[in-house]
Amino acid sequence: MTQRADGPLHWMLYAMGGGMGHLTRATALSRVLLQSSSSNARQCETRVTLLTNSSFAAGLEIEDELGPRAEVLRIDSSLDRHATVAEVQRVFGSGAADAVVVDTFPRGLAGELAHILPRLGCRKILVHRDLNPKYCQQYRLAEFVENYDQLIVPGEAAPFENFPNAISTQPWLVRNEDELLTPHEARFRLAVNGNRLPVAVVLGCGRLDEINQMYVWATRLADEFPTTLEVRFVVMKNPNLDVTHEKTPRNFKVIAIWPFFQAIRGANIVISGGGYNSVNEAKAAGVRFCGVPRRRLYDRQENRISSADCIQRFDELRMRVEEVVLDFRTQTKINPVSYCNGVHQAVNAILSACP
Amino acid sequence: MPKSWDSGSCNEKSGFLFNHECFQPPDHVCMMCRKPVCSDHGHEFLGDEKQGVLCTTCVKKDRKQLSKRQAREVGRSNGRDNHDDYDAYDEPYFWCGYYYGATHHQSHAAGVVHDPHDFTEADAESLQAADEGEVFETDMSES
Repeated sequence: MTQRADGPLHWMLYAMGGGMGHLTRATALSRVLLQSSSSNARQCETRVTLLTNSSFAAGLEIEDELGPRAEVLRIDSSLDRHATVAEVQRVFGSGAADAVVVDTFPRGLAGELAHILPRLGCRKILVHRDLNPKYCQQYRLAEFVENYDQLIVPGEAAPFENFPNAISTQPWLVRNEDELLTPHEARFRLAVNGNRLPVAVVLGCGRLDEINQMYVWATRLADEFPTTLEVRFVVMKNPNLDVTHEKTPRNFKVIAIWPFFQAIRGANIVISGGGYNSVNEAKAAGVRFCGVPRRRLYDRQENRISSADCIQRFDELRMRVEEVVLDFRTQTKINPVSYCNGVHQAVNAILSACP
Repeated sequence: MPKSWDSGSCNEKSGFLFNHECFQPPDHVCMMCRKPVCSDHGHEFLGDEKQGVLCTTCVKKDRKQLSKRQAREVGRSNGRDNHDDYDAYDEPYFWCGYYYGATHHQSHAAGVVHDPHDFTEADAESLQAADEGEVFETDMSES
């Protein structure tokens, strides 16, 4: 893969890894990269290749989200390490890119980029996030990140954030402030009639057992607040849950929305795991949040969720939701919170550093 | 023609039960085959780094040749007395199935004794599970 002096700018976004975090950050970055380039005649030809092995990617219409100048390469999430490495090697060996952006894993999800990156003649950018210190130490990541031209830190503390080529931004979000649905529109999108009751959105994300747990909690909430709360179980795509034949409470619905963030203003509380998107989206939009920190090999979710927002058991969740229900009865109109989408800062930093 | 190695990471393919690629950064170059290897896969020659470092593949070959030489010299390879210089090789890479048995020293050198209770491939999963949470770059569903 060599850098070309002319022709379209081709960005390779390495978003490998499970869950929605890598994929959503890469989607947010792709949108702004493609939008930013549209002002310049040459850069109108800018295109993005997004590489993912998330099990969620198969059911998401990412191409519709990004438009015709984006290509999404979905590596089968069920492949083992060796087969996954072979796929990544094939992708990197088959096309030229002018810049490579690697999300989170400096050496790649399987360490395969340790072989690939040093040979690339193009610009290399790492989306640098918090990482398990044992991982950093074991693979000497402080030395390895010297392979990158730039480190972009998307809104959370990271071990090499003080490196001279590191730039910190606000959290990256897949929608700008003016792209969010209004509370009224968002409630409509969530199939909530009127504004008489508060809405608890339970996100069905993470691993299958975690999604199942959230589904059970969502139905229990609906049972326990039958006349005072609307509960929506929001999934990114149709889950492997056999909910069609179950009798569910009247104030409970399963809704498929991706990205959910666009409808967040319809929620009075968001209940989720402790992933990057859930926590940062709720914080940005000023929506109450409570989350169960999930155990991950690299991502330390317990560090992301504030102690006030952290729950482990259903009774803790019930108490938080009860507060929301009580507050809703007494609250006056709440003005939407403003936020800055850090992905614009990131793209500015990346483009301004390009030769 | 000498083989060309990737200088960016350890080139050894080795493992306790299965050979697999190692992507760790290299610390040494094998004095025999010039392969870049990490500290896990680099072995001090004669127990002294100043003498040089061998990769796991070469040190196995070297050890095998030594055993043959010793067998020729003393009729059979019979114990640690003849292995003093190779204590540095007393690592899991070089253990054979009967390492723990009563005839440890003989089999350690010959490596031909079959033990029906030896580890099998089926044990790999339990070994990996025991190490869960510490094994990076192996689970493709992690984040």
